[in-house]
Amino acid sequence: MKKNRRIRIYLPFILLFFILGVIEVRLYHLQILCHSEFAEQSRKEQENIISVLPERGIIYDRNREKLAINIPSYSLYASPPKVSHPEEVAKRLSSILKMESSEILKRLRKEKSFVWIKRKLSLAEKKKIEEFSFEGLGFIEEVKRFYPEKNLASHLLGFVGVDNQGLEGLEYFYDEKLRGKKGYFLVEEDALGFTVPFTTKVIQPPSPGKDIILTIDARIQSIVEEEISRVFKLTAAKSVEALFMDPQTGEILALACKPDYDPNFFSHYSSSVRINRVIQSLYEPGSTFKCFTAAALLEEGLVNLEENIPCDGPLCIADHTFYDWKKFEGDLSFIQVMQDSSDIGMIRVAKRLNEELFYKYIRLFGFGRKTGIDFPGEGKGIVRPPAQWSLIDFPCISIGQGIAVTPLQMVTAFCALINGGRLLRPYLVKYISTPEGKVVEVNKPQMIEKVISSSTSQKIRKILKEVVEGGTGMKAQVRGYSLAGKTGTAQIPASDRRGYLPDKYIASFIGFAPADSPEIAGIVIVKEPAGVYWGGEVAAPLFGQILKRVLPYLNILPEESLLKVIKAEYLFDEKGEDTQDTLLSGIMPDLKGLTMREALKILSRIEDEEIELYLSGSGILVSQYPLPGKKIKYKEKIFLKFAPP
Amino acid sequence: MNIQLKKYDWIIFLSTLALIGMGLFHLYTLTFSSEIRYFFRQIIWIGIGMGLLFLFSFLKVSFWRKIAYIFGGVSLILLILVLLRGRGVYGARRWLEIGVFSMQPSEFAKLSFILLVSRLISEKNIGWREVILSGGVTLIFLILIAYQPDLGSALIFLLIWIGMLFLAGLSRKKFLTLIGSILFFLPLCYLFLRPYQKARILTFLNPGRDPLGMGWSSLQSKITLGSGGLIGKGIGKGLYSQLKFLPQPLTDFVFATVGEQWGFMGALFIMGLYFIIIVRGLKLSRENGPNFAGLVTGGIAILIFLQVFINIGMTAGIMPITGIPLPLLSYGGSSAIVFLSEIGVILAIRKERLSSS
Repeated sequence: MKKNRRIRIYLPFILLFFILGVIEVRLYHLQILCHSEFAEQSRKEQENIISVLPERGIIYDRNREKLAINIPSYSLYASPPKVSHPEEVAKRLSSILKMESSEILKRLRKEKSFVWIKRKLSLAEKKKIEEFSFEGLGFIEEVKRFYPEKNLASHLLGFVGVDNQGLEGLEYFYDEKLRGKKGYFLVEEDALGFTVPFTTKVIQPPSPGKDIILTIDARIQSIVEEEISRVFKLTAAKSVEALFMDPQTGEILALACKPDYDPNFFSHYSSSVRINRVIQSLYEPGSTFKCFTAAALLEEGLVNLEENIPCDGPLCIADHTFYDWKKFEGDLSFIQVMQDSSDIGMIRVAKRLNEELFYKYIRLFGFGRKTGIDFPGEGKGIVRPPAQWSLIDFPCISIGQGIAVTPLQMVTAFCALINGGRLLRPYLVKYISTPEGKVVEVNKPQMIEKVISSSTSQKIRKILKEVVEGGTGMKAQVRGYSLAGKTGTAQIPASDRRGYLPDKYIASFIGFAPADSPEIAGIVIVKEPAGVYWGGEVAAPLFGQILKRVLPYLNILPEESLLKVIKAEYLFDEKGEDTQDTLLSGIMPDLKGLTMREALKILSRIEDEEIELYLSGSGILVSQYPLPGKKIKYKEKIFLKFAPP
Repeated sequence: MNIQLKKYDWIIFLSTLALIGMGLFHLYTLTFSSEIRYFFRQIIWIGIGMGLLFLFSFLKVSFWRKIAYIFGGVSLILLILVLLRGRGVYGARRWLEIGVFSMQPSEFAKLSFILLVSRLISEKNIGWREVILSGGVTLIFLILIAYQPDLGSALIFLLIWIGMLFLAGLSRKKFLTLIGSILFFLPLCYLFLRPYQKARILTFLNPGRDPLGMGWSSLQSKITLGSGGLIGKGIGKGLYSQLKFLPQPLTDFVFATVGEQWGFMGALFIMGLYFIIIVRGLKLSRENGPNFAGLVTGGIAILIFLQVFINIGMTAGIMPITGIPLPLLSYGGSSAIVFLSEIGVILAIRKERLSSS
């Protein structure tokens, strides 16, 4: 009993000692044993390393027109502990920012000192939010990528994500160059994310990204886009693609796809619209591919240009019957086979090549392998080796069916055909420079292989010129210029079975100008046009329209015969159309004797932005610059002087 | 007067003064730069508390005995009022506004609860009848406070009751039976907890569970404490707590800032002061035996012990996070006034005991 009482008296003291002892041990553990670890952690949490996004490099066209720039933009953040009425704030913000209010509320409720609400707001959104002046919200200035030309060259440029990281296109391919290096600042911050003054230390200043200067010419690009989108609407096609290249260097001058998208709002478009179909998608080229078959035959000396080829049909090979697009009677010369695009004729000559040799040439021209262009996700194409060919594969491939290529491969190989046989690596970036303009990297023309002799090349040019002068490509003709090229009307293979889709075609035209000394080569492809689907009817005129506007811009003058100066008195007669043509080819008409009103009406046919007009005096025109018959250069100043009659 | 003063327990009194001094000075170092108003308010509370301490220390034990029921009744009414029209902070209704002041009835309830239970179980030899009677009263307090919800305080009431039954001399067999049945029913209570309370307990069991969320407080508190080291960062150098990484550095987690600025030595010193008060209280209780005065002293000692243990334990990460303040160091009027009143009561009992012997 006495022992029991003693326990009763001492038990509380024992418990007390024991428990307080436990706490002491724990404190000793935390404060003495783990001190250095916690001290380090405390220092780390106070010193925040802030990274600063560098200025992203600018993307210019070859003439230093800006295609992708940076503009300041504001991002909204919150310090949740300082937001007093999260529900109300979330409700208001959701209506301004068009975000779910539950999502905003979730962020406002986070036990963090800093959360993003929305990055890169529009100025209107920012203004509205500032009107409410909520506590605990703030803006941080960030740079936002902006594409001032909107849809122009969208498939080339690609776009960036919210942290300015390149996601597609050139923005992605050259991300490392464009991105620059993040800068780091060391700041002591309190837990609410406020910088403690005078504690900022620069560890590393941000270094801006490099600028890239494209081979693309924005002027040509916009002409191409205008023209293909006109045809895209006119033909109700599924899509239209175009690619133009400098055949002597491999520089890509313009590359466009319709439908296109505005990279400023890339998320509004599906990836099927954003894909660069010129570089990344495959198609069966059809008759345009005959150029390569012809080149192989000529290079091997297996055919003569004037040689007669029997073109009567139909032609049965194995279980397949080939027909021509129209019935040919008897023989055609080899040039005519190309001119009139006779499948049967071509198949008959192609047989002179053996399968292995033909396959060697196909590979030599770069089909079935990447061209090495500086762009992500390039398509390789599908070229099966002869061992896998069926009996009809050889004839099919010789006319461009049963082989899958990218438009880029077509033009790259085509350039080799017409430039004397040099297969070049196509490229999009001319050079890379620092923001101050110091060039740090230059892409030079690069020959991959010599594929045919220059004499064969010359023969091909001759053939292709004939195609436009008197064959299926006639509609590509441009007054005053000599164009050359080849039409193609290809069937589209069914994805779910053997054979081709009925009534679906790809109309295309591949060509170059001037025919004697190629300065620009390109392809236009109209996929699944409604109604007329012949390459010669749909694609050739489009190609012609484009070159009609591009050639004068490239300072390639029309042949002398057209250099007649149109006199003022004819300007308003029935030949008005000619005037327009002359003007559009960039030839200054003779305006002498016209009133100011009449003169301006004539010149209004030139787009305003292309020239600068300076007028002086009044009455009728007495002198003009440029002189009649001279070429009007891009952005040229035009002086017109008037005097009373 | 002279004779009266000699009978004062000067050790408790001076320890209390030391705690007040430390508390105010520490609060000053935390608030002088920006929120000095907290410091001045605390001075007013301490002033009121000291007034009550002196007043209570001159009242007779028989007065406390008489007034125990009334005190208990008033506390219950306040607790009900706070549930009906209390002001909420962090989702709990703990504050009652009276004019310009606001008070925490659960703090005042602690003292009156001790008085009430002491009165109930000191009447005669303690048996099941007293256990059930006082247990019923405890349950009412417990439910009212748990409903606020203030789980930490509710748990304190339960532990005080058990401790006082022990001090009152409940036989070992009955005592163990009681503990056994409570332990049996306790896990059931988990089902009635609110989600945030469950989360706190889970986070306590595994602090890494959510380091930026619930575990943040606990982790930050440990970092704050640990970064202090042996002698601390020095006065006003509690950068970590001042930079607001630590949640509620003035109230719940004040001990972490003590550890940061004053180090392990400072923490030991503060704990030593509490230890002295608790041991003196327990000793006085033992001297008085299981009568009303002894039980009141014992109850108060247990209360102070629990507050210190739960608060510091929470700061050091060995107890779950609850809103139990550290007496005199945490900023807060109710807590300081009630603590000083309790000291006043102990001083009165000690004086009367010295007079009678």
